[in-house]
Amino acid sequence: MNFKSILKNHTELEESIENIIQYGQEIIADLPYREKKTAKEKRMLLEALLIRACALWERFIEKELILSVCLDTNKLIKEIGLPERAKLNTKLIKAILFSDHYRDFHNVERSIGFFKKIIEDTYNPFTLLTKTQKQKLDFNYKMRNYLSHYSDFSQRKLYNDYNRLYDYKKFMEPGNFLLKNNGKHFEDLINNFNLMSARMRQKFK
Amino acid sequence: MKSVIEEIKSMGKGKITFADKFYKSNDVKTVMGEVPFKEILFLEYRDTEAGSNPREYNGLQKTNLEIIKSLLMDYENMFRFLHSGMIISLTSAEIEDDRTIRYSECCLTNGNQTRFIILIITLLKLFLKNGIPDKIIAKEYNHFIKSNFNGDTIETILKYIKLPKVNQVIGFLNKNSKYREKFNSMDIQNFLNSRIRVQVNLINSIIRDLENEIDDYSAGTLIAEANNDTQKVKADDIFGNKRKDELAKYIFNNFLAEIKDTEIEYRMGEVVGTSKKVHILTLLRPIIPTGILTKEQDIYQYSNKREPVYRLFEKLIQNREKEKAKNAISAISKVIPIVYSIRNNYLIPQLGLQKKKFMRNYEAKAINGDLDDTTIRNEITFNNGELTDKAKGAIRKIVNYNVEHIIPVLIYRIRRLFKESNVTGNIELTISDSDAPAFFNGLIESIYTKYVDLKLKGTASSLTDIVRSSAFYQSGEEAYIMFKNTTGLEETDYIDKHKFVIK
Repeated sequence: MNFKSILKNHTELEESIENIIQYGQEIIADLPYREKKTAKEKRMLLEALLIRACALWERFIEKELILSVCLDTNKLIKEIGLPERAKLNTKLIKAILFSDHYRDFHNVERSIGFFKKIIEDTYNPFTLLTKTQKQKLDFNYKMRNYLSHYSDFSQRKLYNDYNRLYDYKKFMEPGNFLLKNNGKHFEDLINNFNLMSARMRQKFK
Repeated sequence: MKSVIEEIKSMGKGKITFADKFYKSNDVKTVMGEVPFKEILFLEYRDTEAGSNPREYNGLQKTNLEIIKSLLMDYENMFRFLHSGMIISLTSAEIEDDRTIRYSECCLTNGNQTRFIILIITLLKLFLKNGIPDKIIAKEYNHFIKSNFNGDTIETILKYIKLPKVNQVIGFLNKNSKYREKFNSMDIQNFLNSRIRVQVNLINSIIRDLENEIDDYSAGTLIAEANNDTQKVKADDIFGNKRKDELAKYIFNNFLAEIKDTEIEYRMGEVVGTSKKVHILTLLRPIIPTGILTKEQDIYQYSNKREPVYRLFEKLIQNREKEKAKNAISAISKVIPIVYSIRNNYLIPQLGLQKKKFMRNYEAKAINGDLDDTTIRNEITFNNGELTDKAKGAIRKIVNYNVEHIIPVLIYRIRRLFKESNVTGNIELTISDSDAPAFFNGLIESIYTKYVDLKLKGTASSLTDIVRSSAFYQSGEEAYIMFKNTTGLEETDYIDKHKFVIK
């Protein structure tokens, strides 16, 4: 296993995220040669793009985890009590980590302890993420959860963050928030996935 | 005399030194203080990255007459209190110490008349050895200038001091014995070390915090024009005013017929109360890169300078009765509306989106250490793993663009796609409406990428050099050829057929 597969994983995420941002910004910009979208359509599209970006992040994280572990499998072997000389490849690692039930690692802050247990420090890219990046990621997921459930609980959680991070006194639908200031929040939050990827890539230079 | 000349020639060159400690605002957007005359003699004011001052030297008209009087009367003590001072805009300014600022480009936005008067007095003091003559002889004066003053900036400034303006000062001195005596007894060193109050706008700091996207040049020009807008601008000095009727009748006639919701501004600031206005330079400049009025090799140099643009159109209008000029005028008039719509429909929106993309990409590159071999490597700093505002500002500076830098190259690239419609007689492009967005967006991205690359590599001494280089005009070529080959794009000789080369 070398860094090539890992860097490819990063490139795939970054290109997909960039496409999402560009598409969103083109919609917001009301380009003269395109049919204009109504504000309502824009809000719905931006919400959908946020959900899509989160899905891409989750796919990326799963792959990153497997590939990072694969660079040095000693920690994982010890963690799950396999014979020291056991040879693990990406398929086996995937089977060990994901096959029995659904695991959700999107929240890096929450998962970092587990990552440290199974990834060798030299190859652990998750430790490089900054506080701000993790905070924005968490906020993204508050929005995604609200959009996935529309529950009172998820709404309250999201409202608390609107208030804490942006000083908004009223709850607003994610689409409204993302569209504000010509999509400034939309770009900032979705691009955070790419900036996280850029930070993590430093481990594999 | 030689040592004085050498001293004043060494001034400027990316540095301004104040006489005393200057005042600096907390947000480092404003600096104020006093500078010796010698510091301001050769400050640039036209078409620089820090803006462009719309006013030329008017000669000894009413206000300037008062300036020269107060200057000669007591330049050492009272002058700085009788004069409201100068305003200078600087790009990439760095405060070296409490008296010195280094900068990349400079625009003297206010006080240009005063500067020229001080400069003429200085030149006369250095030139006249045997008292004040009735008139200066052109040959002698030109020899003095040529043999003593060289260098791009100095020559550019001196070019705008026409001999009649110098002789005007001579005439004034001859008529006024009081001021003549002051001039004769003047010590040139004391004069050059006399002070004037200066207010400096540090453009990079100013635009860094702005919500709206604005580049150095636009901000600088906005400041320069606002500074000058309230003053009387001599109508004859301005091409737009002088040629308003001819421009409207011959050059902008198709534009006025086709684009009814936009007013043409013949002099900056004359149209108020509407967002739909366009300055004549915006319409005239993109005609130069079509090559319809110039030799091929002149395109690069002329497209990004105001003066040649106006000069070419002045000559074109003067020759309007000639058959070939008539042809060119007719073609230009038809091309202007389509170029303007390309600018609004494709160029401006695409540059806005692309700039955001560049910001994202370069921030990611900076985080990953991929900007280590660029001009901004020393400005890429981190705080708790996050890029600092300084680093983001440096990236923003690199990806900032000036539409007027990009549009000439875009038009240069597409100039063989103009054709006359058989139905309407208007000019249209040979590219289909459905292909146009992808074509233009690809081309604009390619040109803008080259623009940013050249800035990042820092090979040229200034952005002005970059945008006037033939290398920059080659950008977009690959994208164009690829599109041409894949879509079978038809090229025409419309421009060649209507060419009227002005020497």
